[in-house]
Amino acid sequence: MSTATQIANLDMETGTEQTHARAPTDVAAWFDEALPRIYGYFLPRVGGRVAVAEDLTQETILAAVRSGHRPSRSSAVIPWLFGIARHKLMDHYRTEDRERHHFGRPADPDEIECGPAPPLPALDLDALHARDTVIATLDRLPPRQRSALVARYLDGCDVPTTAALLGVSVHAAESLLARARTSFRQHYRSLNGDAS
Amino acid sequence: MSRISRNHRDPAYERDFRQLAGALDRPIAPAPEFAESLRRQIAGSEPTSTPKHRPATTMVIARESPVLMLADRRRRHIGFSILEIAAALLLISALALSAYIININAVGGPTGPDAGNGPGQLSRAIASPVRDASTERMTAGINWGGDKGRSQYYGSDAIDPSKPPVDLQIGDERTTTVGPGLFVGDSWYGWTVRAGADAFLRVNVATGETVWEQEYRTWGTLGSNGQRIFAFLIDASDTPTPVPVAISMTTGEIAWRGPALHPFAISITASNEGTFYLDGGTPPPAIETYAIDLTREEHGPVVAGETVYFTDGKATTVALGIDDGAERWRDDRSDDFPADFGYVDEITFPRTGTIVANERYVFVRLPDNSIVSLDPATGREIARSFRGGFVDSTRSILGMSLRGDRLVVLTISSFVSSDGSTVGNAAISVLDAGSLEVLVTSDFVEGGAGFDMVVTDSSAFLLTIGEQDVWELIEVDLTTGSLSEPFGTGLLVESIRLSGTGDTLIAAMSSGTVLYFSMETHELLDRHRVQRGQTIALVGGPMPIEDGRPIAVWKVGPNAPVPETPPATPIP
Repeated sequence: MSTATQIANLDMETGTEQTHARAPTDVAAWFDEALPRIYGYFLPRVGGRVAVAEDLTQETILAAVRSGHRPSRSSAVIPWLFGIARHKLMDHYRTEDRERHHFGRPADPDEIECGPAPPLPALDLDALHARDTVIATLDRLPPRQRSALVARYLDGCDVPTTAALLGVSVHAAESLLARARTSFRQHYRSLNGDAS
Repeated sequence: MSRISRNHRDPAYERDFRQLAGALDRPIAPAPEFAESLRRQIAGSEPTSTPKHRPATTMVIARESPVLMLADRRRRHIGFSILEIAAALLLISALALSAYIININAVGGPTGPDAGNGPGQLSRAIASPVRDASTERMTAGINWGGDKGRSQYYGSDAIDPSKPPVDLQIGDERTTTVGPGLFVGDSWYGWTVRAGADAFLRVNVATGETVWEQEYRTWGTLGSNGQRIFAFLIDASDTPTPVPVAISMTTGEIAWRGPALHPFAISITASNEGTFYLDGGTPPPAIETYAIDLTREEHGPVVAGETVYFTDGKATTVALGIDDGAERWRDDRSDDFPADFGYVDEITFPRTGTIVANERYVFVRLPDNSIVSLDPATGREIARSFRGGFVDSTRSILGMSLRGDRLVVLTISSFVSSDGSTVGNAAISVLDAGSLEVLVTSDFVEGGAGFDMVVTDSSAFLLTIGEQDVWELIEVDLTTGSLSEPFGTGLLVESIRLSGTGDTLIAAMSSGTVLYFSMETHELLDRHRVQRGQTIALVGGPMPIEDGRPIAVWKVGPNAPVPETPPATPIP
């Protein structure tokens, strides 16, 4: 089961009983499995920056441990952690966006004309070069656009959920996604040249 | 607009993105040092593993058969001791780990040949090579010297980096704003907004307890003479009128109020054309804009002897008696200010008054980028630097520092190019405080435009932000103007504040990392890391307290609470 599917299915898997149930096993039982997966979740989403991925991984796992709430089933632990991780990631993007606004970076334009941009080619994402290019392209996007694409496509959320995560209306999320897709395609082509 | 609507409603238009679902996610083992560090933290954090959740030792003993206990006293005695010792060790370990986590961690470990490369760098050695700071975190923004920018704090107390810093959390999740505070004696004084209500606080550093709390709002930096806190009192309007006040350190009550002064330009928007729009000015929508936070302009209060000085949004300066707030003199420059306050068409930083003073000198930077020297006793103008000298039309004064008979001035050139990238340079000029004659001007620090500055008697340390958002520290020799090799280089990932005391230069990052450098050798002396958990925003410090411990003030971020049930739904 992919990460995206696990995250997307989180509610159905865990339900409400997770919130007050005790862990079926202690942290040691899931730590070794969860650490590389959570770390591997963050790393491509933060431009491959190790320090940031470590920080977010640490925040996620410590938040999970300290929350005192665990899923009742061991199979739900990893999706539950991914849920926390995604919120941490969105917080990180929000912070990044605030910093841009506050400290001299150009504000994201509210509206841009989305000119025609050729769709992405079929990507062999098992190939290192393709993965690196996608990660680098994501990293070039403004934080809000990046957070929209990550939530919608990498994490597999539907548009209403993406909108809720971003704190905007569904219509605004659709517009943001449209701009983000165009921007991603343009950056991808610029990074990849004619190869795309 | 119509094209956006058409595109984003066309399902075929996003099919190429569907291939990304889950495609980048691979389990990746982080560095063993990082994993081990995290494992140790978890051992001290897990609620179910802390001693208070474990059955008491005596209860375990009591479950044994009393008969057995009586029949084999030796075994019972030994068993009790082992359990007791184990429990004690567990308790001690847990407490140690808790303290490790609650306070700022001296995160570290042994340095290795690959220290600083790859995962685990945050967990590695305190005494790692200077360049290890270079990969601190990712790019986020440029510090233009606003609220989280220049602190220019320089104390005389020697800091002891080996002592754990105090992590003083001022705000909570209801706290929306925390202003720059001030440490005096055993307490931190500062303003916050808690749950929508103003709160000016005195917080005991040692205990974290609020000594008193008053419902008013201050603006900008604070000053103190050890008996009172001095501040600008403002209301919550968009263009608040600042009123100098003295605040009792004992009760928080207002001891006196000075005259109302001109409002400040709290926010300034700058376009990529080099045009600035101050409060009330709205840039045309087609122009890409940049926001600049200038809420830490140094308008005072500056305490010197028996006088406290304030300067306002139109560079009008008042000298007030510290005991009664009586106005001793006023230097009114409001007529010098641009007639159209909302529009400044120059590639310079428009500045309201900035003031530095001691008992012999009072210097105010005027809106036209000149510096005026005022007589501390009468307010009479003694000297004035002329524009076009060390500050020509392409430069602007960003900061001043008064060290004895020398006035150290930081100037910068225009700061962004048309494509938004960082350009420009910085320079330090040293002026004779008596004549305002320029004694030396340093070489240009190229490519830097966002600055922090700490000035000692012999050197100025600059935090510069260059292209690619790389920050670095540079020492400027105040005698010769020569620049040192950059040190502490790193990617700018957050706001950084620079301060210093004794021979220690301190760089505090909003992520929670605090770096200590030797001013003498530029060596990275130490590195502490606040165990952030839910605390995310650096709002003050670090500044040393009396026993040499540095203090950082933090607040909990608005998004801190961890959702218990993260919302998610599958792709339709």
